[in-house]
Amino acid sequence: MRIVVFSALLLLSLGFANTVPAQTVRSMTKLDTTGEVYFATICNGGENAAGVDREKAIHLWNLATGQQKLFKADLDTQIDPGALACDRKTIAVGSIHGAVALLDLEGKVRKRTELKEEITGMALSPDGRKLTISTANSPVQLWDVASGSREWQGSTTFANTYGARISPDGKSVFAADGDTYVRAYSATDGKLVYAAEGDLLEPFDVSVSADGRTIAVAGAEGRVELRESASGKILKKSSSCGNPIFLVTMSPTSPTVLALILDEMTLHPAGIGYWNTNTTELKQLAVDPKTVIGMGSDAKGLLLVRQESPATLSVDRVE
Amino acid sequence: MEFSRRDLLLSSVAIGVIKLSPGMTAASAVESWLRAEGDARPATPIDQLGPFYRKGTPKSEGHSAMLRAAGDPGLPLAVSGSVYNTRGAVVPEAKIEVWQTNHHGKYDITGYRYRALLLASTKGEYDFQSVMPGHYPARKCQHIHFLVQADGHKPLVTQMYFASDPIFKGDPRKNMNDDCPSIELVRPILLSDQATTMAASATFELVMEPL
Repeated sequence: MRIVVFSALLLLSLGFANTVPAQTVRSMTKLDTTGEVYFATICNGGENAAGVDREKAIHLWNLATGQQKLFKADLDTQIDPGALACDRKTIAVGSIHGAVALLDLEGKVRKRTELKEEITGMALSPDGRKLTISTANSPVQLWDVASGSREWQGSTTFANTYGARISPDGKSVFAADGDTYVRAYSATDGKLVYAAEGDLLEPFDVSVSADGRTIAVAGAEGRVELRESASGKILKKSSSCGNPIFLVTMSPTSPTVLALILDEMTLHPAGIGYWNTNTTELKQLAVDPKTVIGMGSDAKGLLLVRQESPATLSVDRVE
Repeated sequence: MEFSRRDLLLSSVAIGVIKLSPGMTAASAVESWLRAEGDARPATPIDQLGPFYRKGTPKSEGHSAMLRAAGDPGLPLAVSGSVYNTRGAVVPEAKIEVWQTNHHGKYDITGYRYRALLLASTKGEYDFQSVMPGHYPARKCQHIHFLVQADGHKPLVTQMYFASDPIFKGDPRKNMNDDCPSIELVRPILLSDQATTMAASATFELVMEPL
């Protein structure tokens, strides 16, 4: 998706209409930063966060100590929000022109390759051995991190994959595809397990629950669906927020989902949705969406990454 | 040494066997000749699908569609073209979905305004009437989305851009940007006086890859 989300500090506020302070958003840690970081993610494991700035530098923070490391991956162009994934060993990053780099946590580039296609999304498996890559024009790909090579590519009727995630046991890959289907593949060989009918508009992201039994899917329809991961069957739906949802993250500790809501005209953050899957209401958290540059989770629950000032990020816990 | 058909035609122009009308270049004349003969054509470059593709667009009658309604704001725009494959053959009755923003740069995501599904004719022809799409903040370039599907061919997902777009500052070749992946997708527009208003038209050939 050739869109520039998360540069919200430059934008007009869209206000806090329909927000409810039902949840507490509490700052967990502050991170010093250099450069204009426009996208950040919580690394698998929850010990680190990584971000990218306008100079194509990669930032890595230790969330316990606040220590920041700064790397250059020698990417030719900008990095799409979402084209960044990390865990305790690896940082994976992709560029608009299709360069893919796998770095270690000291910033050394271990593997580098060119896909010649805009990289729009990445996700590492929980064990760190596999990596999904989403691109602007093709179905999801699964890569082996150690060898830096592609193992298989999925298929769609005509579209690319937006978001993709690997199940906690590493056996399945779930893909939110532009042809409006949600697909599940065997991670081992790429065999299609199912293609589940979606909404009329495209799904943009998928997240897998900690026990692997359910997936949350959201996209241009503006609502979140909870689906059975084994079949793709819809179990529950939230209400619609009326704007597209670009990212979803399921809590590992409670039946709740965070959703990054974009304004449909600017595709910039317009709100942070919060859905307790035992209800239908997709609430909006009382945080300024202009400041949100990322979200994720650690072992204790859901996290937001916000830019408090040009030099400070805040990692907030949603409780 | 073997000469290609293109080389022979260019040589014929060079030595005067083929004469060109004023304003026509040798290269463009030969390209037109080869196309008319059904020679190979380069595939239309692919471009991103979304966001805001919406399935279920109602099918229009025949190979024509009317996307604009009476009184809609914006410069009236007529788009026409034909569907071929890379072997140069006409692809008859291809299913063509088009979608775009309205004049104000807004997609209809709850209905099907400025969306159409039409079936190319047996000669591969299609056309639709719309308005020049608006700009919206998330995309720099005015564009119309196309999804083309036909038996025996890879689905084609692409977009059409306009040389008249202010973003190109009058020279698309010089002022291309990351928002538009290929100069081949940027089409000139022809302005013409209608009875009461100015209107624009553009052609967009769609070239699919056989499976």
